[in-house]
Amino acid sequence: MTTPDRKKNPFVVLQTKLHRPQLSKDLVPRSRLLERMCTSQDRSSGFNHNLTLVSAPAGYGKTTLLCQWLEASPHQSAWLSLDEDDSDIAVFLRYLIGAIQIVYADACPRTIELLRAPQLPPLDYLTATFINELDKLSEFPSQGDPAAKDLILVLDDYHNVNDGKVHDLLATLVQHIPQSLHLAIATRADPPLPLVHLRGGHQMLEVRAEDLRFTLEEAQAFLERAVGLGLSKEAVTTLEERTEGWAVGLRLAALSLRGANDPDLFVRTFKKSGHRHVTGYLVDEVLTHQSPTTQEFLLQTSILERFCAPLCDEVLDVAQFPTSSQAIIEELERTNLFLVPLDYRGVWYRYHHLFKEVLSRRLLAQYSEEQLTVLHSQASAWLARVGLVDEALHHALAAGDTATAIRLVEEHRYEALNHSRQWQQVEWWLDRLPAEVIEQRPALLLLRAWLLHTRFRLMDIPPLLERASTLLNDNEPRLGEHTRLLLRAEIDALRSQNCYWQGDGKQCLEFAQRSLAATPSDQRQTRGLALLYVVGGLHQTGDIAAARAILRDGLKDTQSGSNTLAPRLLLAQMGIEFLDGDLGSVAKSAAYLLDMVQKKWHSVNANWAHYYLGRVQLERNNPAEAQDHFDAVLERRYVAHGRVVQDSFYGLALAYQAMGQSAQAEQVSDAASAYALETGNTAFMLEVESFRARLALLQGRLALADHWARAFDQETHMIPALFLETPHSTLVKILLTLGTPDHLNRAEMVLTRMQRFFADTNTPWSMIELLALQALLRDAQGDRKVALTALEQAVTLAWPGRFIRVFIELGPRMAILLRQLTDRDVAFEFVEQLLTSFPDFQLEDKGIENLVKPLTRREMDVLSLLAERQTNKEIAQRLLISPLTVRKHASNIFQKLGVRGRRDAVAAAENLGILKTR
Amino acid sequence: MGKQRRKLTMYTPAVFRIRVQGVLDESWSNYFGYHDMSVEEDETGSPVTIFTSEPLDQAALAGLIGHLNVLGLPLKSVEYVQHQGCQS
Repeated sequence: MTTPDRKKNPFVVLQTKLHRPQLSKDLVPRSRLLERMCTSQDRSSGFNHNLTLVSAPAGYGKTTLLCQWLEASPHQSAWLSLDEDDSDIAVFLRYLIGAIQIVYADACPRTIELLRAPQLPPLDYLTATFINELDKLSEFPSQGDPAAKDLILVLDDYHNVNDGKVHDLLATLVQHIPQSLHLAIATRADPPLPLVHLRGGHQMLEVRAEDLRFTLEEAQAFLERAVGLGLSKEAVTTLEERTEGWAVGLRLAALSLRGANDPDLFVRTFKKSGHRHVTGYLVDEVLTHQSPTTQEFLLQTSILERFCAPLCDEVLDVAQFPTSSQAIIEELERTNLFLVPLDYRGVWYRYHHLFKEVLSRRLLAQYSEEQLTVLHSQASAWLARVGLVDEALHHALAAGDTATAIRLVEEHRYEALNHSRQWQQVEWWLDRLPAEVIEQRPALLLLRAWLLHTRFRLMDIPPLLERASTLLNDNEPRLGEHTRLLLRAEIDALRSQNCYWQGDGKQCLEFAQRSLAATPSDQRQTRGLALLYVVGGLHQTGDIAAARAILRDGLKDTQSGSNTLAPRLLLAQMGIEFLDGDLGSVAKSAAYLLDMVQKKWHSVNANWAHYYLGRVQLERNNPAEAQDHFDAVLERRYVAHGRVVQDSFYGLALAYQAMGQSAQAEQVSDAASAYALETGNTAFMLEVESFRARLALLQGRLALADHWARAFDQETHMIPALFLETPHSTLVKILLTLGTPDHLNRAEMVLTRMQRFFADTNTPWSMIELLALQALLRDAQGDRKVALTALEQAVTLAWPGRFIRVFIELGPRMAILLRQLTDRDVAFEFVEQLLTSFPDFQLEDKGIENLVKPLTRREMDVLSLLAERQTNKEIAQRLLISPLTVRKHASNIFQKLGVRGRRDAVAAAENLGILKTR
Repeated sequence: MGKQRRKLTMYTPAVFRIRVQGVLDESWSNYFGYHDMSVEEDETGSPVTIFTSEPLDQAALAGLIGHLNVLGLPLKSVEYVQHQGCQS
């Protein structure tokens, strides 16, 4: 095994952890225990308990008991042996699902999806998904006996788990375990699960040390089988007493007896050794009976969690070991020296834990640090060659060999970036390397940058790129020319992305083109990003033809599965089409992308497709359809790109608002805030405040909107308007509503700046809203003629793509203005469509100048008191009229303003300038 | 054999008196049982929780101590009180 097999993903689970250990041949059946356990599961009635807990110190025979139980059981089982490194929740779940999949192929697909996401979702979401999928296991093809419906999940060596999240997950699982499932845990110490509760509810079967102890009879049976010769009753009693019925002790005693010349002498000496620690004493005894070669073998291989002959050969010093490891292993197995076979082919083994611990201690005592380092390094090398990166990394770090650890991660980053895309794995590696080390390695800095890229945390990337660039320029650390070129290309690609979003199309294009030229086609990650931003840069600098040409070329071949860049290119295409205001094409491209990815599973791209479809529907004022698409994205928010998710929240909120469901809209906007916080993306956190102000404005909560507007620094940089929330737009909308001359002046300044920016970055779509806002501004400043000209331009731009929402959102004043356009010969049908899309206004055919019949003086009085949130009763008292009269006035007010409730009435009145804003 | 006092073994359930720095509240009663819980002030003026465990074998005791560790409660003392010494 020299090069890792590309098909066998090197980051995949080590299968031996998932196989239940083979039972040793000289075992005594623990019938009295098995009866207790077997009675708790009658095949027809499912399980009586949710949990079987086997909790006892090392060496009591827990694993053996579970194996015997499963062997005798009619049910299927999934086995997971836990090590220290499995403590992390993502690793734990991956292994557990791996074990389940041996029984039910392809089970738990959604949980796996979540485990592959750039960032792990919150625990309760993960737990709920997992438990739901456990409920549905029977839907998957079963590899075992079709008659066996139920599944026992076994977790061996649970005491190795330190992650509170795993404990929480299991606590929930035990409480809500599906009918057909049973959980069994073997551990050296009681797990931090609600055991008292489980005991009280009789939901748990416990097997403890007291139960596992060999009775005198059992000890006798065992010793007879293991030792062969007839031992006197006294001898058996001595052994049982001295070992206290402890399984490993008895086994060690048996081994010593087998090798002893004079068994009785051994027993007598053993009895007298009461002051010495049993295990240490017995292991010494056993070891001295082994050949020196074997002793060395045992000591040196004790650094390994799991071993096979080739691995041992690698670790051991050839000079010292003339015999092959295979021969030694076979001998050890024959003499039953605590070797546990881990698969059915006799390839992988491990030592019994206690034995391994004693051996480890002896190894540390007898070997120098240098010698240990050599052992670990050799193990690491072999494991790396075979593609077991996690284990190799473990040994490299144990050897204190940071250099090898670095090399391992750097060598496998290519695989991670371009094929497996296991981003959480990557994060796990980076977390295990010391921070100072990462600071000094451009390849590792860039790995972190890519990780941030998948989470769209663009603001955090530049410092990493700076540092990496400096290191490459200084050639410190020394890297090959080829490697430096590739890494520089990565830096350029990532830089081009940041430039695009700062509106610097020229720089974006430069970096992207440079990166593309330097990147070979197998570097998919880099190439994909560079290509995306070549297209983006071309578009932003106005070279539309070139951008479209690249897209056309790149998308020519989408039928064969080999065009891996196709989804990326479609993404670019949709972006461009959107910016150009060509909604029809966006919808088509999005549908095409969805179709493409159904066949080949790329969930990230499916979410983009849904997002764009949602946008199209939202812009065309079909909020119900829009809601469906945004919901689809949000449902899978943990596997979607952060930017898409954040925008889908905004889209969903706007859809609800458009349907008149203000409360839901607010709820969604709260969720958007929570999400922004969760992702730690500061750009999102600022943006969501802007969105909330915008929503507040739409809901007539002017105070909040005003508050945000005062605090917003309009000098902050602008970004190309592709996404739903543009803070500067929101600012202008609020200023226009507040309407004082000062506010209008400020609005004018911002609009001028926006106009320049959008013209420079070539985004026709954003011009639509800009012109509409300008129209409102000029109108407010008394220049209706100029206003209508601007509006005419906006409508002309909006009409081909049918952008409706942009106008609706600007409220009744926009409606009034649009009404004026019917005099001019501008896209008549479209303007009519716009007008009918405005919510519930009574647009009277006569009285064009005023939207409503003017309010009477009394109605104005009532209205101002409504604005002060007075109840009907209070108003009645204030105005010295009856509450019934108040209600009548209110109803007239509502009708004239074309609204349904007092809140909206106040908002509408303020919008129209009838009420002074508070 | 009769009524002999037996030494403490890995498997004998025994009662322990445990002191931790900090406060344990009722919500942990689902996780491990305890009696006579009280909170005192120690020489630094900070609270110390003292409680008596239910009978625990060594695996259960290790689990309890591990759990206190997970909860972030520094262990001040663990004192053996008694165990069922009689064998029938």
